[in-house]
Amino acid sequence: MNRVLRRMLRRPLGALGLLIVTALVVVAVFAPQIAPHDPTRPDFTAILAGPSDVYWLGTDELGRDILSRLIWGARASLQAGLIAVLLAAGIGVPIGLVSGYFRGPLDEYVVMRLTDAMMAFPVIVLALAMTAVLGPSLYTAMIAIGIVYSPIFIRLARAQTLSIRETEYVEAARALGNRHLGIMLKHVLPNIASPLVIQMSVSMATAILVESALSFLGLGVQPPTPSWGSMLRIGTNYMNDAPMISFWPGLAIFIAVLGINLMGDALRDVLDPRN
Amino acid sequence: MTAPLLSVRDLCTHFPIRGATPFSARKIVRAVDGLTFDVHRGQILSLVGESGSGKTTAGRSILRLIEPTSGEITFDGADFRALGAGDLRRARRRMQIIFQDPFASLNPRMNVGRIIAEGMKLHAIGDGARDRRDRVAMMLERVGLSADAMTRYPHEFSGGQRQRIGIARALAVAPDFILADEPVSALDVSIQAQVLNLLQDLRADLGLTMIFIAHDLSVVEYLSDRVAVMYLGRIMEIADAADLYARPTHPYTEALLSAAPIPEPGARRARILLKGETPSPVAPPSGCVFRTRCPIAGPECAQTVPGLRQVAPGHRVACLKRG
Repeated sequence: MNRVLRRMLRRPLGALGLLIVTALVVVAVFAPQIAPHDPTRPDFTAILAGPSDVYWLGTDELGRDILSRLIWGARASLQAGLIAVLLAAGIGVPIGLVSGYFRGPLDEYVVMRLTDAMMAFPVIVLALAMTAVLGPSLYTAMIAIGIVYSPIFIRLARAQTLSIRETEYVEAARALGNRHLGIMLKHVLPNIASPLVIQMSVSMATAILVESALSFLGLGVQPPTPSWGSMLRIGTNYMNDAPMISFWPGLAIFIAVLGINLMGDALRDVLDPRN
Repeated sequence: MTAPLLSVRDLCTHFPIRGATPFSARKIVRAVDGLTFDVHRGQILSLVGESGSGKTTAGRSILRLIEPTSGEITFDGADFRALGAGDLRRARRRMQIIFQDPFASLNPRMNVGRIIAEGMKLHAIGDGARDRRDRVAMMLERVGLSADAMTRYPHEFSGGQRQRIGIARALAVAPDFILADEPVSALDVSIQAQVLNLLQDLRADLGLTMIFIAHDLSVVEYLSDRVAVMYLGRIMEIADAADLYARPTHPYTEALLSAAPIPEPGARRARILLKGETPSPVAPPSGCVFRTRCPIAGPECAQTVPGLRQVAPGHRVACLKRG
């Protein structure tokens, strides 16, 4: 692990990505200590105020400090990105791996057709249905995103497994007397990991965006708890008077997505022994 | 003579292929169609044939890496095809394989030490990780690589070196039998000789029993005890190596031998050129499968399937016209 970290820091872009992600995590974890104001306390004397020495980034339509809300919002957004993607990969990779490894009618007619059906399903509709059952919360949104994203991982893991299972080193592993599980874990999984890592970083970025959409519809984070997505969407109502309300959460999302993608790229390179 | 280590009787491996529509007749590729031979302890049998002759499928079927359709495989007196999944895994220690393509046969994500130790770990050979490491080092030196190769990854090695790693992996579990599937045909000619010499040495030292698959009679001449010539999934001729090269009897063997160069300046053989392509194994010719390209085929060859007939002790030929 140490070796991976050192090799990652040797790449300028990888180091930058790692720096951004680490900084975001630190901000999210220590939000109560860092935030200068209570993110939910309105200040009716400073509604839609511009930057000042009290409110560094200004205030929103209720006079709440934007900087504090950004800092607290990192929690919801990062959780949404990370947990949703881990859930999606956790569901998708084992199914895709097993399905692609054994093939057969169960793979072709059940797993593949189900993923087709799921991919045709808009995340918003699923989130609506799930909200009806579980009630609106950040966790409902994360689970919905995780489930909707899982077919991507099923497909990717399956497609990669299909090509790896035909290689001679997998045949050699069988000839050595490996069990199926051993072949899948030792020989297939490490060789399909690169595209999966990349897909996870890309999905994490889009999951943050989907969380904002769900929060905007009231299906995710509940007001007054801040998330970047809800801040961005609410800010659009005041685009003419106070464009910075939307600008700052937009910038935060942009930086987070960039950092995660840079980190994913570097991670893929570092984990490949050929580099 | 003692009982053979490996005995194959009437082995068939057929693959069904789907027709163009769900209603069209299912066709069957007869990749291996009725192989019969024995391999005795310490012997090297070569399976020779062109691409598409089914030699690779035959090898995979003998190891049950591809499940054969019918026939018997007896390994060291036991019915190999009757083994269940668990017994088959345990039995794999005794039968190993060396692959053709040294670039595809090593897991790029494992270092050489792990690759070679994997089989030992699976079959509980060696006393702990330390002992296995020593064994891996010994194995590497045995195949002509240095022990520090252990910590490196396959991409750091050349084709010939990788093939040696593949050989070390197969030998690490101390198998009784090795299937070498064209182990040198992907290598440069200069490296081919080195790897063949290595196999020759190992065989002398360890008394290996082998099936050596090749598409080139000149490669196997120097290594094999017996040679079986395959065509369209069947054996056309099988004989002791010296006998086969001195007295090729089947017209197909003659044609193959006439294509091999003679290591003597100016010397030329009368070339027998075969017409056309190998027929499709989906619809093999009736009677003798070789008749469509045979220079001496007669009308009876389309009627009767020739069985392997003994023409000399240990020399059998499947031809109606000869022998």
